[in-house]
Amino acid sequence: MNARSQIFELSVEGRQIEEVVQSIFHTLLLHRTLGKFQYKEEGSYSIGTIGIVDEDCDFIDLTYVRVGSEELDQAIKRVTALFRDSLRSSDGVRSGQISLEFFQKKRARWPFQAECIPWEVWTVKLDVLNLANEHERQVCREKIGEILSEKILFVSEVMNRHEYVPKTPNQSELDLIFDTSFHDVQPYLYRISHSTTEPTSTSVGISMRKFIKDTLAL
Amino acid sequence: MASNFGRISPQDRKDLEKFTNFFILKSLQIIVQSRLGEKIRTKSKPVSSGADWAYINTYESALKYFSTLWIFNLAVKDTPDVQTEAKKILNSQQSMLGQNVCAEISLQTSEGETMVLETWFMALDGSIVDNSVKVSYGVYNRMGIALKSLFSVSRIPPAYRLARQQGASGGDYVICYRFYLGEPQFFQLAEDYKKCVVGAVPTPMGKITINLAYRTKLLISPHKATRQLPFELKDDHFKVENSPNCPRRQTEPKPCSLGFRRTSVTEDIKIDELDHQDYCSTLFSTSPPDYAFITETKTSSCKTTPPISINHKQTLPPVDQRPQSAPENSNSFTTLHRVGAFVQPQSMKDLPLKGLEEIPFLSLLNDTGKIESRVVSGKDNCSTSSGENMETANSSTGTTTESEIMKSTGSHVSVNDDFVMVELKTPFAGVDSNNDLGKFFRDCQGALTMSMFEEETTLNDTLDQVTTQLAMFETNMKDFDDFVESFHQDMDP
Repeated sequence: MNARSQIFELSVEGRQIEEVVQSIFHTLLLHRTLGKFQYKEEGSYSIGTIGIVDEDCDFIDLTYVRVGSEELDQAIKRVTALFRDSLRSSDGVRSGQISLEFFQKKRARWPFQAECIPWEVWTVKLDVLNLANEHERQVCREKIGEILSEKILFVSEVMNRHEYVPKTPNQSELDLIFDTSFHDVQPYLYRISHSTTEPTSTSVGISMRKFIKDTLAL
Repeated sequence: MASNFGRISPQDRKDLEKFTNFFILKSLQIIVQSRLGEKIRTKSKPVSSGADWAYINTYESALKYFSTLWIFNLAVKDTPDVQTEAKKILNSQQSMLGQNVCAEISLQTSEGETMVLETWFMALDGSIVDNSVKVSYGVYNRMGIALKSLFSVSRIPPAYRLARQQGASGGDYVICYRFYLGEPQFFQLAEDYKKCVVGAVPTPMGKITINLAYRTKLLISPHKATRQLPFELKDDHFKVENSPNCPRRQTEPKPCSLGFRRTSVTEDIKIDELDHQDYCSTLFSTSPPDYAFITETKTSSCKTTPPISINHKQTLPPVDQRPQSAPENSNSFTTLHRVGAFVQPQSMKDLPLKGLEEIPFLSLLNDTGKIESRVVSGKDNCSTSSGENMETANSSTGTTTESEIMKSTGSHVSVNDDFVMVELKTPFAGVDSNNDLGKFFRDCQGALTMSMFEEETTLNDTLDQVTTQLAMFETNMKDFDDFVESFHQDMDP
């Protein structure tokens, strides 16, 4: 089965990295999180309630909505902080990507581990900008807010296509579909991975120059 | 899988209609609550009090729980006022989304300018049918996802920022909402408005969508904005249903905000404990109809809470902030009475309060009474002269022999009658007991007749008098010349 994949590309300031990623990922997780299942007996369970929290961004003109779960929020914050640090750690690395992947597990025979099958992947590619003055920062702040608003609209559009999501399983197989590690909410199984890359040179001239330089180096 | 193949069982249909109704109610709540101007913060709960999925498997029990706050497993708490309005709209619908359900969000300034910011509308497209989805689970989940999208998208339009800023410095406006059925009125959003689909729920009876159209031009134009009139000017203005005392039409915009607490957070709000004074205080003086409308709602606490005095909030228009134009009672006279530096101290008791309480402008009568008493008896006694004056006035005017007195008292008789008619509350009048305006009015009414008009003179007599006067002046011309000459002598040293 092929996983659905969406890619967002943005150019942001270093200080905006976390908020950009969090606003997109939290919007996604809001749609991909259910209330906690509480089983009473086999075939009978209740679903908890999802709280709603408005988050104001500090460096972007944007308010986004996230699931009202501190545990989930902390989990996202930890990963995005790592991604930010890797992007800002060295001067050379100025772009990177971070992916939120929803998957389901398939049990494998002992001694093999369960197989993870992704069914939806959302990738955010970021280029980090260096802005010269406060005016540019203000423009960037507003511009990123507008772009993220469009992205949130797009996320809503995709979510309302009601495409494939794994079926709700029996109690015994619940953790093959859902992340049951949170005490108050139950998102679909997800994982976040990130990587950083060299600045990509889009110009043909630069590419050619680099190619010749590499050839001569040989 | 669907077993109905294009048809839906009566039970499913009934359930779908119920789901849809709750879906609409929750959507309207989310929309209006997003314009409260507050950050929402509700906690997730692993065990909810109602809408348990186990019960949803049995419809009868499930529907029993759907009136709880937790339907669709989202913490959306109902604001009673919005709920009342939303139910009114739903009750007036003929069939499930037979007409679009629209929620209009508008901005109203303290000057009464109104600008529609956005229109949310829920529609049913019967041509797109999804028979593959089960009502009991699939539609329910899809509706939950659509509501989550509604949460996310409602923070995007400009109206959200305006709502968050309402009540802030310079933000002299309030965000209002209005529900109505029918076609959304896009023309109110001016040109270049944007449209987007927020959520979609394909069902066996058609595709339900939540749509948004929002204004992009946010400047209030004095020509295009509609200034709300205090009442509607219509031919049938005086019909009973148009009376301000009658319940207003349900299309009247109402303020979203529960109070200007921009930086505050709605955390598990208990609607019943909301301070309705706060609610009411969001109303500007330009929107008394809104307050009147609020009092019509069934919220008991709002009814019991007396209307907040607009004076306390200092939101009165300038016309109401003018100084008191007229004293309301005698205390105003006494408290504002000032005594000059070297004036003989006079007790307040000595002031003619009795006269003020009983007959307006009696002090003026006293003044005129003095004049008359001087003529009649030569005594200067206010009370007696006043009494005489009244007696004289009440007695037959033709009994006295002195024509001057008769005439003057005659005029007073008419003025006394006028006193009954003239009210003390004259605009812009001073607050002292002398009442300049009244005195002036009184003097005009009671002016004495000049003696020259009392004697009837013919034209010839007058000409003779003039001739005589001229002859006299000519005779005295020498004296006049000497008088003028004396000035010249003084000037020359």
